[in-house]
Amino acid sequence: MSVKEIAVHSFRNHDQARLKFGPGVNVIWGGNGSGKTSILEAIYLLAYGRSFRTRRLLETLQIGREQMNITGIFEQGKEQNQIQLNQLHDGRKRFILNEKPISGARELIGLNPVVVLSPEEQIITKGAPGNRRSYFDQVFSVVSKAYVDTLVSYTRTLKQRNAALVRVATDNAPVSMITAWDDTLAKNGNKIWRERIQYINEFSGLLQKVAHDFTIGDVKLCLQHTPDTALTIDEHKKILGQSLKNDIRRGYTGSGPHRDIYEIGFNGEDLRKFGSQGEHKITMVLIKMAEARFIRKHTGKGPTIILDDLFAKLDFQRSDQVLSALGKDLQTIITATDIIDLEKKGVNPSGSNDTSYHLGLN
Amino acid sequence: MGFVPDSINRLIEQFAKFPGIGRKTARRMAFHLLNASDETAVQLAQAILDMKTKIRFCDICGGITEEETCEICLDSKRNRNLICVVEEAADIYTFERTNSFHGLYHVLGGVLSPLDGIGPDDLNIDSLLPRINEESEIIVATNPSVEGETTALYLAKLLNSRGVIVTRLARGLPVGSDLEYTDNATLIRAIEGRTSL
Ligand SMILES: Nc1ncnc2c1ncn2[C@@H]1O[C@H](COP(=O)(O)OP(=O)(O)O)[C@@H](O)[C@H]1O
Ligand SMILES: [Mg+2]
Ligand SMILES: [Zn+2]
Repeated sequence: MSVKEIAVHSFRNHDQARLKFGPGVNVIWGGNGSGKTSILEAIYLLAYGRSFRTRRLLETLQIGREQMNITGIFEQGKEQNQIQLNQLHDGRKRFILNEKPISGARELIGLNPVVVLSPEEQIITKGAPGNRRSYFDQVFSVVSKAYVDTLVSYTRTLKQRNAALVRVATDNAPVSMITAWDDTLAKNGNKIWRERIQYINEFSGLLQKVAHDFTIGDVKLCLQHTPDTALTIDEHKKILGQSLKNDIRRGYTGSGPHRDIYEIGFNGEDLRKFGSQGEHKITMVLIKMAEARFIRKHTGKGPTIILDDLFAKLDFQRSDQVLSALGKDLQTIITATDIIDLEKKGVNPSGSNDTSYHLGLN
Repeated sequence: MGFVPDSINRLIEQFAKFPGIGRKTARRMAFHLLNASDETAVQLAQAILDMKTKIRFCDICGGITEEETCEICLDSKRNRNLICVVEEAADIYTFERTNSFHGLYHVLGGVLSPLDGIGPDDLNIDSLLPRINEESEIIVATNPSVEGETTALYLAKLLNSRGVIVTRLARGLPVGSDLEYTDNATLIRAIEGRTSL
């Protein structure tokens, strides 16, 4: 898989820009604020239907403009896909795949997988449990449309049941308003648990392997549930019944995959509690390597690797290692403020498959 | 909209409220009426008023009718033991269009959705109970959304405990799809291949 071309209009600080990429190492370099991360963001938007920087897409429309456009050409073996995003200032937006309008994220996800390493991604290891849940949900969504659909159904069901809990607590609505949802919640929850457990075991295996390959140590991933194990549909329905009073009092559903916690162990310790800065950073890189392998294994597609500003933050030897491990035969797009510095670190985009762009400040 | 006289603007506003009608189309409709004869305009207005004054909900099934009881409920050739439960009265016509369903209907008037304040007590479920007996089969034809599925499961539980067979339209209707936009062939297959809940 590779990104052939990306063109943006009125996106962030770019009035207009068009960049073509080779299948090897591609470097975008320029000073702070020149719009490097924005280009990566545009690629990501077409790959996932959302940004890695903001939840509000409208934020990316250039200030004072009526509308923005992003067009990307992606290559998949011999096939090419053109994806467009059109965002109007009144909030309306459209995704277009090969000239046909599509609904957005559900249809895009998995089509052109990209793996991003950026300072923002550090929340995967450092952030709250919800950040890790969203990250792994996204990774699993890339490889399974069934997972996407179940997740959408589960999230909606949970929202409905929680709304019922509040109605019963405040408006004296009958309890059947809540319990009517237990079946659907337990069914979808069980589906998520089963897929999640299978995927996380696999992912954890890949993670341990890359950590071992780089002699980083023992890095493990495990999944904790509330209640303490994943439940069958009937078990879950029983628990929902037993904790009904508690749920009504708290106004939310206390059991289910939405309460799963991913823990990362680094040499036997909980990384989140005891990890050093360096350990967090290297674990993030390892997770991303495992992600690239996981995606390739399931979809047969080698994802494009996007590295934003990371080189400045990893030491000399490792950035080189990281790049060769990630990008041996994968397309890589890197941003840097200084190309000389990048070359010193062993990144030399001068092959026939490589490109380099300098973004000036306008 | 500037420069457009207020009376036309008000009509455009009204048309734009229709499902599937954008402002552009609403404008075209309004200007079309402007050029139409007075008679056409009066007929349109009268048709709307007639519908609103004459149409009422059937005492038995909740479908729409001009009498107390609708034609379908009065039709003695229909299978009285087979009842298709739908979300809205409009769904009845989606099934009738296929010419292949010969039972009766029951309109719930919505689906379970606490986010919209709707629980079991807010749906026409009580009026369904007197219509069933041990021979009944109830087909739950709510839309394949999370709300539609949940409503179907709720009804199944309630009716199974009374010894009634409850079935659901066969899969093959894409999740989130609307019955109204399902073609006849798919719908007939879904009725024939229904599975018990
Ligand atoms: N909606 C917007 N309209 C105009 N400029 C924006 C908008 N959003 C961000 N910017 C500006 O775009 C510039 C580019 O940011 P960024 O892509 O992060 O640059 P880099 O990664 O090269 O440092 C920033 O200076 C930012 O202030
Ligand atoms: Mg940047
Ligand atoms: Zn009737």
